[in-house]
Amino acid sequence: MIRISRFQLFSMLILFQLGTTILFGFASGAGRDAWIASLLSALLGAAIIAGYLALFRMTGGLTLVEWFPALFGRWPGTIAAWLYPLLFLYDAGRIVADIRFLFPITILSGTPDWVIAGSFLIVVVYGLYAGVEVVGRVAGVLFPVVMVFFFLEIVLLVASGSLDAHHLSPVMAEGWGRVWNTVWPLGITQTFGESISFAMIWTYIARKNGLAGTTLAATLAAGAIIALTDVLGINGLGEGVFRQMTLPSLALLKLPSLADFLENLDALGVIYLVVNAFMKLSLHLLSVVLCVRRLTGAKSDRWIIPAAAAAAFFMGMTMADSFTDHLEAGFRNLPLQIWVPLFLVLPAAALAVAGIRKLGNAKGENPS
Amino acid sequence: MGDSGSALTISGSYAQDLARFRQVFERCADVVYRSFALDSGRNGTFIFIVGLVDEQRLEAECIRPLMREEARGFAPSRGPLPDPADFLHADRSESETDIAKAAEAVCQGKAALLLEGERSVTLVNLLKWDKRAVEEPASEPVIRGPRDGFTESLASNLALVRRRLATTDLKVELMRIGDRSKTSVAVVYLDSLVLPGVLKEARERLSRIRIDAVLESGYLEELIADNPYSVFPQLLNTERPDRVVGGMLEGRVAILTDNTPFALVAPGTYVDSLQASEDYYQNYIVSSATRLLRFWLSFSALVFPSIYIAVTTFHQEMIPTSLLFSIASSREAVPFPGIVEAFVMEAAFEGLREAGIRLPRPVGQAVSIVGALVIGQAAVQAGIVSAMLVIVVSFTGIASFIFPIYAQGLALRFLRFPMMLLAGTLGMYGLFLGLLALLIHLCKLRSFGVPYLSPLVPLQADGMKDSMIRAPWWRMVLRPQETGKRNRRRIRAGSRPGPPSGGESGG
Repeated sequence: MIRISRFQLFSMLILFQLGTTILFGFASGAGRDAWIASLLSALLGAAIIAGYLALFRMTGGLTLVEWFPALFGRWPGTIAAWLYPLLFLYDAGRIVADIRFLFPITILSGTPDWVIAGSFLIVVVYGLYAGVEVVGRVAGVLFPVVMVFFFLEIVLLVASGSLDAHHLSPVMAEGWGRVWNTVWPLGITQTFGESISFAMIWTYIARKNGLAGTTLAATLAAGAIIALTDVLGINGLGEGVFRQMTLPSLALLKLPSLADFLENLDALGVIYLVVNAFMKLSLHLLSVVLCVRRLTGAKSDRWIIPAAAAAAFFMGMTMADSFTDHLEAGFRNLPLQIWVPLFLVLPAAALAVAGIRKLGNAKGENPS
Repeated sequence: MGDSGSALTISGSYAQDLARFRQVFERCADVVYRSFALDSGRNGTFIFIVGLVDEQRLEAECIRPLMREEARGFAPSRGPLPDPADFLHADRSESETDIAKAAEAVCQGKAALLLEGERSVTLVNLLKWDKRAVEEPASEPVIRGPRDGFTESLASNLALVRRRLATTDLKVELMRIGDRSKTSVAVVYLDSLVLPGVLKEARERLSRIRIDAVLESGYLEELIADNPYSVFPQLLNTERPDRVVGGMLEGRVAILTDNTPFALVAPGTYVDSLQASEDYYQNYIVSSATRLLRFWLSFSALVFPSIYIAVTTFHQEMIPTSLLFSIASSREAVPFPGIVEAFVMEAAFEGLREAGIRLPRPVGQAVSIVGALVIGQAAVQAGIVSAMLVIVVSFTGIASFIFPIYAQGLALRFLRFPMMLLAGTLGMYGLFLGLLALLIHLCKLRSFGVPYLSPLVPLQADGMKDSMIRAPWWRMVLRPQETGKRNRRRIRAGSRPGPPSGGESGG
């Protein structure tokens, strides 16, 4: 029997939500107010996830793809449900593309991108064959490790005097405009909206009573960590550089210099990148596998896993010609055209239907 | 009665039965037939294997009493013949009518008495063979702690365990495994502590084994492991009785095999293999520090050469500038890339280690001299490897020998090589990828249903008291959660010693 503890769920969610986005400088468009935008996104994101949790509860613990057939009727519901594995597959492809572009520009300049993405996927597939439970346990190990390193990074940054708190002020000098522009639609849909993947995983949690609390706590904690990296980035690099750089979090790691010995922490960057990308890609593909298995009623994952991984690989390798292209799609087109309808509109509709039904039931039952 | 129908049973005809035995033991030069004649004129023969039976006792306690009593007991005038076993002074005897079974018992070291006019043979237990005395275990020495180790004799191993647990709660189940070897295997556990699931699983897995011979507990280990494709030891193997007993007190099952000093303890986890039994005897603060050191070194043994390769080949910018200069100058004369250099040295080191085990004692000196040259200054001066790498390899070598359970050291020493390959091809990225795959494997692995990384994964707060650190005994009130689910309390709560409280404090 598959069992995931609450700590493991917490770890999975945080690592998933930190994801690769954290390296890009979350909400860096908001300049020195990025941390406010992050916190705001996390708060709104938590509200959205609370909506998913409500749906999970109102449907009596059904998984994501079972919500729609249960609420919208068999055929329209099934069609709506099929959109999600496709979306997750596409998101997985985007992570593959992240990996494919990020490693060569950061630490492995000469290695062909298909080798990097391919080797990464092999490990992910190994993890998927091991199952949900093992992915949860791996997260339970990696989360404390990442947190220890993150703490170390902060200590070293502070100790080496690389930070300057004046970069943060004046707070909100340019008003709500640019903060709001990063929060909607990108801030709340990426990572927080994507957490709808966990609607496939909640059903495996050992004890359901702490589920909602753990999920929301993890979301807020992830928001706090993201905001903290933004604060570090702004303090270390200054608003201008923070806004312009593609990967401010990695640039930040080059700053500390302590006693001429600890000079740069690139290795930490590799750890963040590998760990976060691994968790995000694994959970995306895991959701794909779980969705497809539920929808097709397949007995085993044996063929779904390699098929999903291969699809993600080819999508990742072909979806963008350059890193700029890739980012352009991610920051401009994706949120409004795909994420908003699937992460917000459809679930909202489902929630409405579930709510109306519940009211109807309550009214229907009372007179009798 | 019709001897043609049951050719394998004792016919009662002495000459015929003896001939049958001789036929069964045809071309078995180690079988001895000790014939004698009794006063009544009856003939008898003891059949046994030389070296397995105490011949002096056979003479004094079996043959002589038979001859003395026979005249009185077997006198023709007194009614039916009494059972010859009554005259034997041997400790255990039984009668057997089946020749094949009797022959088998003889092979196991019993002496078979064939007496004229008897319709069965009497099997006498007079086991005695040359065996090693109880010595200090060679593979797990300790500074503080008992020095007795298991030997090749199952009986004396069981006695070593029983001496530590003088209770009827200690159960010993014997079974014989191996169609040819008929090796005795004992499943030993504490009845009130053992997890029924683990015990049932152990019994089932052992009884499922069909093999012709079991020469060492390693056979059993491989045949009952949860994951047959893993390089990690999934059962603890130990030579130390105190370790076995400690395991049983945590609700585990011990499997003792005849003819080997290595006992198996199931379930066995990764954390267990980093714990020495000495940790529990020494000061707990020092033990905790030692354990942390072991965790750190076990990790170093796995990745240290890989980090060297990755950093020198791919990520020179990660090295602090001053260190980079000294590495670069020491690598100046070396013609090979980092990975070739490291592989050559690691292979040389592993070769030396293997030679150190295999070599006949008198040549030991030669290997250690050559070893010092190969992994040392001479190799550096010859320009084959850099001085930095010599340090890396030596440190890794030391780190890989800290495992209290030798098999775990083997696993990590092996895994070092794929890691080096990954680091040599994909740098730090490859190394982390390798570690990730390893982590997945370890998270997936189970030993008799217990997660291999427990209590670290899944995390159990209570289990932390006895994993990376060793809490003082008065804090470890409960048994470990995974194996000690039944009967959890092992020490009275509030056992922490302190100065006497109350009246006398004034002095």
